[in-house]
Amino acid sequence: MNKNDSECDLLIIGAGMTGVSAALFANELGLKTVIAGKTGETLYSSGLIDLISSFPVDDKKIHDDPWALINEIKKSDSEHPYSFIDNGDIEKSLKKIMTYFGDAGLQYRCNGKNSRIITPLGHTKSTYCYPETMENNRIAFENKSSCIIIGLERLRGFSSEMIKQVLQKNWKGLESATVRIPYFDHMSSIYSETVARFLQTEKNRDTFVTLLEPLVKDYEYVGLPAVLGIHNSSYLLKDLEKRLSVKLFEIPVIPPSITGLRLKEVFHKILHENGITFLNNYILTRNKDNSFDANHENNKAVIKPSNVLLATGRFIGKGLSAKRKGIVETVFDLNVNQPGERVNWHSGNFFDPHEINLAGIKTNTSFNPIDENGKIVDKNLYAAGSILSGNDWKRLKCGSGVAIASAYSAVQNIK
Amino acid sequence: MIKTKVLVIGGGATGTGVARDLALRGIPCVLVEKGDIDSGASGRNHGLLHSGARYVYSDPVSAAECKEEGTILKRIAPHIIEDTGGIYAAVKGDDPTFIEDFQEMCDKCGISAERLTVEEALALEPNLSKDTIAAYKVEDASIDPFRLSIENMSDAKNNGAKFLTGYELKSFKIENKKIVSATVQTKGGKTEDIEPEIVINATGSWAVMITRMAGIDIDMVFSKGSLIVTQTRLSNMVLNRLRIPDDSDIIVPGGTVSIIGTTSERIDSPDEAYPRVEEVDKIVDEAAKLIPVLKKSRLIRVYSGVRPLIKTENAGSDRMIGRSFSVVDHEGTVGNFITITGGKLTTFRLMAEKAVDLACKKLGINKKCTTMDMPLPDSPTAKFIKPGYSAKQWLLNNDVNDPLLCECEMVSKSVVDSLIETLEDHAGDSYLVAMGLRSRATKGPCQGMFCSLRILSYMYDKGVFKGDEGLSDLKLLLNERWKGLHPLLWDQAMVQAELMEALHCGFLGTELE
Repeated sequence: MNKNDSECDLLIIGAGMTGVSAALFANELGLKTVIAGKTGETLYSSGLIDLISSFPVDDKKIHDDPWALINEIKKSDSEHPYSFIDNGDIEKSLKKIMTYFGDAGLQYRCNGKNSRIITPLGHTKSTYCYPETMENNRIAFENKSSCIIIGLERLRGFSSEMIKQVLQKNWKGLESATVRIPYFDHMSSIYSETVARFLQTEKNRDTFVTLLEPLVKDYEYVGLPAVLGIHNSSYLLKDLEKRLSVKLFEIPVIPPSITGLRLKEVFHKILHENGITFLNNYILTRNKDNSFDANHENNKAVIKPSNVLLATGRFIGKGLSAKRKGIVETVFDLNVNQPGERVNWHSGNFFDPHEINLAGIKTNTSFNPIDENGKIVDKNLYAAGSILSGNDWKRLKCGSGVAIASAYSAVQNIK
Repeated sequence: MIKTKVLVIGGGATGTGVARDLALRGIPCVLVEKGDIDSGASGRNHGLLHSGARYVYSDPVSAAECKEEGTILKRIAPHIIEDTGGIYAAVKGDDPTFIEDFQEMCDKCGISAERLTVEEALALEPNLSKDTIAAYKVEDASIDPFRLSIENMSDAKNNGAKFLTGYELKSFKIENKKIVSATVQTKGGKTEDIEPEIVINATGSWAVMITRMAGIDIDMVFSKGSLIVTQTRLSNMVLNRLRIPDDSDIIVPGGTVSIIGTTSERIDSPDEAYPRVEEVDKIVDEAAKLIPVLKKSRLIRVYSGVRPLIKTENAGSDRMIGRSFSVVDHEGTVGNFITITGGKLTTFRLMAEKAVDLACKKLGINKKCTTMDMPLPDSPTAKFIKPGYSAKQWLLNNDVNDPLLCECEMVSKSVVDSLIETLEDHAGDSYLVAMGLRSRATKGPCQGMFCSLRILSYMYDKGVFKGDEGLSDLKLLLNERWKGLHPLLWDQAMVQAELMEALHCGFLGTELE
C-alpha cells in the first residue's frame, strides 16, 4: 500500500481560500483531514480579504459597515450563504485565519469595518482585512497626507502617474515619480515577483534606498507597488522605512501579483506546519465505492474519506463548468441552481449584474448540497466557498469572507 | 468654418473610397464620421472579397459586378488581400438540382467555377465535413476591411483630403434647394461648420437618417447579420455552402482567425445591431454541418453588422433583395446632394466611382476616375492591423526598451507610440478602442482584460490622459469588448470572462458609481 493511501475523516477537494481554511478548521477539531487541489489560482488574488462591501447586487455603491450589510442579507430573502451563518462565527473564523496567516509571517490588519485601499487604477478598494504592508496606504488616503507614489520603470500595468492623476482632484498633496533600477536594464519588462526577489538581499536594498532617497525626502508617506518581498514583507517594509525615514506602504497590483503569491506560499506553509496531508496538484477521480483515486505524475493515492467537502470554486477553479446548454458541477454532477438558458446568463452591459453569478450549489443550513427537490444529496457531503449559489462575490465583494466563513460553518457540522 | 468642394459623410469603405477617388481627381473634400473609421458595416462583415458566385442565383447583376471589382482590387491592393481561393461545398441533404445548376449559373455571369471531386475538395480542405457530396472551386479571397478603409483614408489625406473622425452631422442649412452648410459636432460638444458645394451621403444604413436631415425620405430596410470569430484559422480557403443562399453559409479565413456567418434578421434601427445568444447557437450548429471542427473550436468574439438594403417589391426574403447599390441624385429636392448606399464591400470602389462621377457632373468638372488603375499604397498607418506584423517587428527589433503591452497579439510600446501619433486629431469616444481598430491590440483571447490596463497605465505615463479620463476610456473599451463576448460564453471563454469580472469588478471595482 502506498504511503499516501489513507482513510480519513474529511477529504477537501480544492486548495484555494475555502479549502485551506476548511483544512485548518477541521484540523482544530481533530479531524483526520486530507486536502487535494491546486493553489495556482491564488496567484490571481489581490491579497485583500473582503467580507462584503456592497449589497444588493445592483446597488453599485460601497459601504463601510459590512455587518450592517450582512444583517440586511439576513433580513432579505437573499439566498446568500451569509444568511446561514451566525455573525459571531463569521467574525471568529476570519480572525482565526488571519492569525494563522500572521503566525506564518504574513500579517494582516483589520479595523472591524471596511477600509479603503488605493488600487493601481487610482480608485480605492473597500476591504475588510488587508496586509500589514498596506496599513499606511489606508491612513495616507484617509488623511490625504503628504505623499508620493513611486513606480518602477519596466513594471507593466502600474503607473504612479495614473494613480496621482485619478486621485489628486481630492488629494492635493499627492505626487508621483518613477525610478529606474539599473539591475533590470537588460529586461524588457519585469513583474512584481522579479522585484520582490531582487529586494531580498541587503545589498540590493541599499541600491534601492539610494534611488528613492532624493525623491522621498519631502514627503510623509511613500507608496510603492506591492513588491516588498515574498515571505518577509513586513520586515522589508520596516527595514526600508528605517533607512528612508518615511512611512511606506504597498499598493496591490494587477495579477499575477506578489500579494497573491504571498498567500499561495502561506497556504503551503500552514498546511505543512499543521501536519495536514496536502495532495498538491493531484487530480482526483471518484470511484463507485465513494473512494477517490488521486494522481499526480507518478504518484498515486487512494483516499477513503468519511466526509467530503467540495471547495472547488466556480469557473476559474473548475468546480463549475459552463456548457452551451447549461452549467454543470464537475466532481459529483450535483444539481446546479442556474438561471435557465444561456440567454439569461449575462447582461448586455458588462457593468450590470449578471444572473450567472448567482448560479451554484444550493445547500441546507448545514452546507450539505441539496437536489432540485430540496433533498440532501448525501449527509456526508458538504460544499463551501464560491461554488455556493446566491453569492455574487465579484459584485458584493465577499469572496474571501464567504470562503472562510462557509468553510468554518460546514466543518463544524462534521461529526 | 471650413470651405470645401465636397463634403463626404461616413467613414466606411464607401466614404473613404469616395474621399480617395475625389482626392485623386484633385477635388478638395472633407470627410466627417460620427464614430471611427469602419465603425459601421464596413468593420462588421466577413472580410470576403466575393468571386460573385454567392449571387449567381439571387442577383446576377451583383454577381458580375463582384467578379469585375474583385479582379480590380486584387490588382490595385494585393497587400490587403489574401488570395485564398474559395470552395463551394454541399453536404448530404443539400438540394441536388442547385448543385447541378451551379456551374451554368456561374458561367452565365462570367464567373469561374471548377467542379472538384469530393476527394479533391477534402484534400484542399481537410476540415470540410466527411458528409461532403459535391464541390466547386471559385475565385473568392479574403480582404482586410480595416486596412482597406485606413489605406483609402491615408491615400486620400496624402492627396489633400481632410478627415474629421468623431464628428457627427447635426444639421444642414438649406437655402434655395441647396445645402449651403453643414454643422458637425464631437461628443465633447466641439462644433464645426462646413460649407461644401456638394454633399455625398455615404453612411450605409444610416443614409436614411442623413437624408431626413435634408427633408428627404428614402425607403430602406435594415438587415442585421451576425458573425463569429474563432481563435484559430479553420481553413485555408473561403468555404461556402453550396445551396440557395441561407444563414451560416460562409467561413472566411482572415490571418490567424476564421470568420463565420451570417444571419439575416430585420431590425428597426441600425443602432440596435447587437448579436444575440440564439444567433451564436444557430451559426455554430449550421456552419458545423460544413465544417464540424467548429463545434470544438474556441470562439473569440461575435459581432453584428447591418446590410443597407434598398427596398424592392416581390423579394421573398431579405436574402433575395438585390445586393447592388444605388446612387441617388436628389436633384429637384436638394440639388447638391447625393446618396450612395446598398452594395457591398467588394463593390465599394465602383460605388465611389459612380458617386464621384455624378458629383463631377454637378460641379461641371471633367476629371476621369483613376482608382481602377492606381495602386492603393501600403501606408504606415495601417500596417499594425496586419495579423502577426507587430509580433514579427518586435522580434526582429529585439529592443530591450520596447516591452510588449498586449501579450496575446504582441503589440509593443513602440507600436502604441506610433498609434498615439496617428490619433492626434481623433475626436472619437475612446482612445483604447481606436487603438484596437488600428492594430491587433485587445483582439486576442484576453479581449482587453489585461492589456487594456497595461496600455492605459503606459498612456498615463506618457501624459496622454489627465485626471480620470483614462478610466472612462477603459470602461468604454471593456463594454465594447463585452458586447461581442457575452453571447458566446461557455467552456474556456466562460473562465476567461469570470477572470475579467473578478479583476475589473471584484478587485478594481470599475462597475461602482
